[in-house]
Parts: sequence; structure tokens; C-alpha cells
Amino acid sequence: MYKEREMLQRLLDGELNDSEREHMLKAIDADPVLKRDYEGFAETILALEDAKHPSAPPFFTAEVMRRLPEQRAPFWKQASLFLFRPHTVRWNMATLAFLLLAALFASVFLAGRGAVQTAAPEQGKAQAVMVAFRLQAPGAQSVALAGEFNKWMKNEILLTRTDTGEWYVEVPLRAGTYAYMFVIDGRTWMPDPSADAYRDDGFGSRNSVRRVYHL
Amino acid sequence: MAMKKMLVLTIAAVVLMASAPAFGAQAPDDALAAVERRAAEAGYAFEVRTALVAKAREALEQGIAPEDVAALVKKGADQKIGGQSVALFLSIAAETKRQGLPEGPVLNRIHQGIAKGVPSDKVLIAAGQVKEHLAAAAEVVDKARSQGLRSGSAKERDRAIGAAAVALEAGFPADDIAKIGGLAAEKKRALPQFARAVESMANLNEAGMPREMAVQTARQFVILDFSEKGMARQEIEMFSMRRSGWSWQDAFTRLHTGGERGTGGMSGPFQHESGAGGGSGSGSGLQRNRR
Repeated sequence: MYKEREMLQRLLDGELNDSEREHMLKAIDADPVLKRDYEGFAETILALEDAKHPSAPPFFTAEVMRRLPEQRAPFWKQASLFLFRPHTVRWNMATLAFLLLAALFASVFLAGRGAVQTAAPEQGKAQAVMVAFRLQAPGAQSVALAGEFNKWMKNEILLTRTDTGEWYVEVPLRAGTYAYMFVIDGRTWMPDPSADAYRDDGFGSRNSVRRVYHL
Repeated sequence: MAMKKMLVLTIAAVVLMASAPAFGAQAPDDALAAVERRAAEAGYAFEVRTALVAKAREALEQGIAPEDVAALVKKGADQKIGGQSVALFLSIAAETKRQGLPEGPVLNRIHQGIAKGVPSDKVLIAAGQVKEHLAAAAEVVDKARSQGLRSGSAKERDRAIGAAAVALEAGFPADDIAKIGGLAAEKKRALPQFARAVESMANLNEAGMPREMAVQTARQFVILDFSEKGMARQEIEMFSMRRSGWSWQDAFTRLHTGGERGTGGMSGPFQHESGAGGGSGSGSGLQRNRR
């Protein structure tokens, strides 16, 4: 009987193959009790299928959950669940774009932190201003400027000779005090005769000093 | 749809990776590779190259910018400096950073020495002296901060230490700088104000103002709560007066009293009103420049 009940259930669920189905239908015809049960179940199913399906009100699930009595787990258990329970991350293209932009800005920020610091301390957040350097050296073949603003590179900032034999260059500098010297023909270090001041260079000589203000 | 998303993701990733190097940050691994390459090109022995790379790694781990590490090794190799000396340069820079001091002034002194062809041992001594000045300056700055100086960012601390170190190197006693720091702390001034006052003190002294007078001027800047730009304006004013033939004493006195040239005296507050003022100076008068 139990076996027949199970087969009946499977017949109603449409899970029987053709031979099983045929065998079961014959068994139903032969057994009035089984036939009555089968017809009762079939009518119930038809009635349910024909019935209207009311839709749940908005936030039905959330409202039900809210009314359930609260069961607070201990803090350590909540923390453990938060940390180790798998989470589903839902994303869209806008979120992805935002994350990419954030990563880009972070990389720019970190790059800025690691940037080379060559200048003397700046005053506030002043922008660079163009500062002119001049030297009268008519006999020189080349004149370069080397100082705290360019890691003392003696072949990086080259001055240009003017018609009067004066060498000239403009360099963008932020506010601050800078030690520097001219390099004549790539080998002779020479202080600026028109410097703002002079300062011991730490090696027994004196550097020129230029003060840059940004008011 | 999935293909489209994959395509967009791939393009975005490629753009991100391609744009990162354009912002100038050299990766530590790149710097180490550059160090190895330069060391090999310079013909350093294997042991020296190994030691040099180890010191470069140590410097990077201490937080020295990869660009600075690579530039130092390149400059050393270009100037035919021995690899062991370059390793020692990196070592002293790393040690400076490890002590919480700004490494910029040390690197600056090393770069300068190498560029000028100074023997390596002298460069090392000079860099060591800069480090000592920085350490003494940090002590003064941190003490003032603990006493109530309005602390700023790490960058502002580095700047203040640098300014104090320059003053120490110029011969100002640490006690004088500490007193200015204490005064700034007592008056609840900001760290950049203290730094700028010390810079003004060194600048004025460098231009010829007697040391004690420069100290007094810096103290007045702090007392009167001058902004950084206000201090810069005062500096320019004093230089201008000096070029016009005023003595330092007269310029200092005038800034204190607004009085005529040659009236003497060093007491009293700075004159606050703007205008041409007395004397024969060519400046635009004094103006107190609060924030």
C-alpha cells in the first residue's frame, strides 16, 4: 500500500516513465480506494491551478522578518559570521567604473608622495615662478646652472648666450631659499657674482644663494 | 552581453595599467633593476654589486623614493665613484630616514659633493654632519611640538627640521632655536610659522644681519603672529632698506618702532600701520600680515 501511495504521488508529479505510468493507471482502475484517492488529488491540483494567485504586498518578507522575535547572537559569533560567512557581491558597470577611478586616483596620490624632493622648503602652497639667472662670461663656451633645485646636475640646465656676451636662463622655482653655482665649460664651478647671499657648501667652498618669494 | 562586459573590463584594466607609469612613480623593483644595471655597466665587482643592491633595497625599505635611490647610483657610477662608496651614501641616507629625519638635505649634500668631484670620504663626512644637524634640529622641533606648537603634517615637520638644521649649520646655537620654538609653543603658533621664522632668521643672518639681531627679529615675528607671507614681506623690506643704505641696526629699529633712521633703540613692538613711514628707505612701509 505504501509503495502504491508513493507511485501515486510520483504519477501526480509527472515523474513516472511510460511503462510505470501505464502500470499505475491499470492499478488505479483495479483498486477503488486508490482510484478515489487519485481522483481527489487530481481535482485538488486542478482547483489550485485555477485559483487566483494573489501577489504579496511590498516588503512582505522584510515585514515578516521584522516581526519575528529578535534572536541576537553573541558578539563574537556575529563577528565570526561577518568575517567568514560567504558574501555575495552584487555589482554593476557604474560601481566598477567608480572603483577603477578610485584606484587611479590612489595611484596618482601615491606617486605624488614618492615624488622626488629636490627643492628647498616651500612656503605654503605657492606655485612656481620663473626666476632669471644671469652671468657675464664672454669667454665661456658653455655655462650650466646646478643647484638644490636639480640635484646638482651640471649638464641639465644650460644657459643661453646673448649678443652682449651675457649668459641667461629662466628656471621655474617655488618659494624658498636655494643654493646653486654656475658650471663653466662643464668643469669650473663658479659662484654667482650677483647672488642674494653666499653660504658654506660643506666642502670648504661657498655656494650662491637665491631667495624666491611668492607673495 | 557577457562578451561586452568582458571587453569593457579588459579595456579599463589596460588603460589603468598603462596610465600608472605616466604619473612618475618609479616602482621599487624598477629602481633595483636600474641599480643592478648601472652597477654592472660601471664594472663593479660582483661582491660590490651585491652589497650595493642590498643597500639600495634597505634604502627603499626605509621609504626613500625609488627615483632618489636610482639617481644616486647613476650619478655615482657616472662620476666613477667606487661602488662601496655609493653603498655607504645609500646607507647614510637610509639611516637618516630610519631615525625619522628628512633625508632630502643629506641626499642634497651627497649629490652636491659628487657633482663637484669631492672625494667620497669627504662627502660621507659632510653628509654625516648634515645628519647630525638634522637630528639636533628634530629634537628642538619635537620638543616645541610637545610643548604646544600646533603640529602639522609630516611634511611640515620635515620642513621645520630642515629650516632648523640650516640655522644650526650656519652657527646658530640650538638653544636660540629652542627658545624660539618654546615661544611659538607658548603662543600656540603653527608649525609652519615657526619654520618660516627660523628661515627668516637664517636668511637675515646670511645677508649680514648680526646673529643676535636675527634671533630677536624671528622672536618678534612669532610674538606678533606674522603669517609666512608676512614674514617674507618683512624680510624683503629689510633687504630693501639695507640696499638703500640703512644699517642693519637702523633697519631693525625702524621695523620695531617705525622711527627715523639713526634713532636707535631695539625695543617696542613692530609698527603695524601701513604707509611710507619715516626714514629714507625705499620700501612700501610696514604691514602686519595676519592670516
